[in-house]
Amino acid sequence: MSTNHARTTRILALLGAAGLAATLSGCGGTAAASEDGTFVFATGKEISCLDPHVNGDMPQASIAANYLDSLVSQDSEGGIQPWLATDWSVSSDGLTYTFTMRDDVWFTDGTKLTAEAVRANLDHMVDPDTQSGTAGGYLKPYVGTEIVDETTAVVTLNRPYAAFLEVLAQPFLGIESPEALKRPQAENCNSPVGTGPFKIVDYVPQTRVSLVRNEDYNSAPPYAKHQGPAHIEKIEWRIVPEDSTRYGLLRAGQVDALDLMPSVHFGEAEADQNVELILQDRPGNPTNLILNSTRAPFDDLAVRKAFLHRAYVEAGIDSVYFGTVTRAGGPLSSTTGFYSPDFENVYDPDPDEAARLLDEAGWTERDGEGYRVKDGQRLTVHFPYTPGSWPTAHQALVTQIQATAKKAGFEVLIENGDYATVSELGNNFAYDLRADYWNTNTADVLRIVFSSEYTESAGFVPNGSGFRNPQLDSILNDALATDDPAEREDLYYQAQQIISDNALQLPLYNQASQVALRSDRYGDLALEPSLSLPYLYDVTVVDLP
Amino acid sequence: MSLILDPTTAEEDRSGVPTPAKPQSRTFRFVRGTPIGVWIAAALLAFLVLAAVAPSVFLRQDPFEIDPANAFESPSGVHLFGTDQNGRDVFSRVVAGTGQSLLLGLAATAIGLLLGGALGITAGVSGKWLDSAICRFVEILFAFPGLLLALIVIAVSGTGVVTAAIAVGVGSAPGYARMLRTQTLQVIAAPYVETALSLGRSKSHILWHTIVPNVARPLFVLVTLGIGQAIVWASSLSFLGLGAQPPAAEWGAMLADGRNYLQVAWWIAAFPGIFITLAALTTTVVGHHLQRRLEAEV
Repeated sequence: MSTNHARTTRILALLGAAGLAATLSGCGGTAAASEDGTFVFATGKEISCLDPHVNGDMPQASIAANYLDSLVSQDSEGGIQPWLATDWSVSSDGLTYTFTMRDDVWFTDGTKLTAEAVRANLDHMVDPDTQSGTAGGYLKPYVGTEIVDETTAVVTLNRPYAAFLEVLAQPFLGIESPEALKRPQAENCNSPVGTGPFKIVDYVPQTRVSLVRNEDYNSAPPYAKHQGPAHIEKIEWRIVPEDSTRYGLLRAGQVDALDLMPSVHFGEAEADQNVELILQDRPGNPTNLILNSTRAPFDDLAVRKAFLHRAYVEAGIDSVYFGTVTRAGGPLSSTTGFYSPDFENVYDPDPDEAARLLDEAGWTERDGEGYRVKDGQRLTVHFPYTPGSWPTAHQALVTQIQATAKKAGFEVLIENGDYATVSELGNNFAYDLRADYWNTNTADVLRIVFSSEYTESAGFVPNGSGFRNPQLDSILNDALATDDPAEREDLYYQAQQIISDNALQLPLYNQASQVALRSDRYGDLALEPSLSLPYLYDVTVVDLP
Repeated sequence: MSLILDPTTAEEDRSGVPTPAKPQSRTFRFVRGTPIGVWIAAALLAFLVLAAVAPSVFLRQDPFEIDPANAFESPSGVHLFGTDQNGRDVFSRVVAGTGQSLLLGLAATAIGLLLGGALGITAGVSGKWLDSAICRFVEILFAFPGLLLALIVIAVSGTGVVTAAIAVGVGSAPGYARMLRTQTLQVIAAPYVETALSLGRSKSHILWHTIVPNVARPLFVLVTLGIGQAIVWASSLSFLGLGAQPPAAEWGAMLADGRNYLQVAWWIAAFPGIFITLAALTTTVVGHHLQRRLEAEV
């Protein structure tokens, strides 16, 4: 029995040592970039399909920005510049766009870029089989493309669409090889083909994408710092969802850059001479929790308002985000055109107002656990959630919102599930709260996230509140039909007013690109201007002294 | 029962000091015969059980009360185990989680025993065909690691505490089935079953009054050993986000919450981790000891 005792002690000692080793393991990588010239980029979110036309989430656009070119480009002031299309003209009624294409560009599969590529790509995005929530969603006004000659394509729309060129500049609408698009979707998802500075050579789902330099690249956009092939030869685009692991790899020198920089490590990274942080708030609809207005309890405006008044977001941003993101209160991110600051503080925390609204709405009784009850029903809010799809800090923030809402008598049930389960619920309005965001470079995002046109699923449902308001619909369409900035400003103000009055979202913070780079090895990692995505074309190797 | 002498008692006996003539009592021998490690384990286990049954004895703060202004506080007099990313008291959450973790362990073990017992005893008492059918079925289940089997159950029936208990139970059932089948076969071969048969008892009477009680006797040990494993598995499921849902104070879920803060606030993950280890270790040490005593007794 003394041996028994000794064994117990030994086990305890071993466990203790293992625990210490886990917490104490240090960092500090070598300065030299990897020898074969591979730039390793660690991305924090799983990529569902490499073709950004399909579905359409940010990780797809991020990688697309590095292997696809677009028809037009956007400069840092928001102006539209040529890219694969050298020139274009718009008819006076705003319904016909005539594009002149470059005549000297080839896709990396050998196909020549012609006007046909415009038709093949736009048709692919609006094809219901593509399930294109983002690109296809942007192209709802699209009717068809007519090929006039090898380099001239005429695109017809069914209504004026002032934001058309802006969305065309986004990597979500990047131009792919028409030949490659003819393959089955699963195949194109794994090996899409573009005209961009890099080409995809290998893809291991949930693990990594390998890209090599396109040696014949001759179609860099005006915002690029150079022309011709990229400076770096190879990219390994590694998928590392675990926040602390991703950052640990950067510190240890096993990756050269990462996105979704974990907020908890910002202070340390800022102090690190070998790390450069590249930060930019993105335009669009801020990170938010959208309230499903199509079913109880959030079909009642008073209940929605009460929920917003009882959610304490500011404190969470200070504590778990350490102030690394900026608070958003209205339907537009502060960097979006036509953004108005008037809606930032409409639903500031106000427990008394929340209580008054709930009493008024008939949720007057409380049950044994302190939750409000009406007609024997508890005030329950179902919130299906995929923790792996969100930063660690976001997971803490929603727990804090759950706790503050409880004080008002809301039972918020965070129901963790995998991506497929949660999106299935999302497509059928089978939730009360949904975690959301929408990055785009135009105020037209309001039409996509709040108009009745987008309450149906195309891979996902953009308008998660299910809100249908004819007045809002017509205001948002009118804003697309005019070129007069003052008129558009006025219309978008009215739209923000209606959306805010209806308490459809709990805005949390502005979406932001938060990229970290090992600046002792590489330099010139820029963000492309349309969606502020990491752009590796101009990246240069740092010469060691 | 047998007495295992340890060196100290042997020394004492040889010293020739006149000890009271009356023979050592059963309790005394039990106390002397139990190694110190087991006592420590038993004491810790008693603490865990107390925390599970009456958490209010230890709770000093509300385990669900958030306080973002005081997030990431290191362990101190006010917060023994520090505070987590939402400013909740980690000690209170660990204590509050004890009940759920132990209950999950117990429930899962019970489910595993019930399923395993039904399969194992049926196989043991029935004829060639049914026995080999059940054995092959159990072998198929054995092809999957227990936790994977549990994950399959979760995939089919969804997440939550109840499904986690069922999942872990199903995951551990094949092991119990095999052990109980062997036990049943041994009991059947025992002379007292033969005696019962020759006395003309009916088969069902023998099954329920002779076989089942004798098979069940060592179960107590199996249970204590099984609970430790079940706690670890249930915590694993919660760690993966498939068991307890936020804001539940479940050890595995807390460990998952804290893993991305290890560099800046080790205590968020460390304490739930230590308690998972302690719960598994103490039940196992106590279980092993009981098993050894029982074997010695038989």
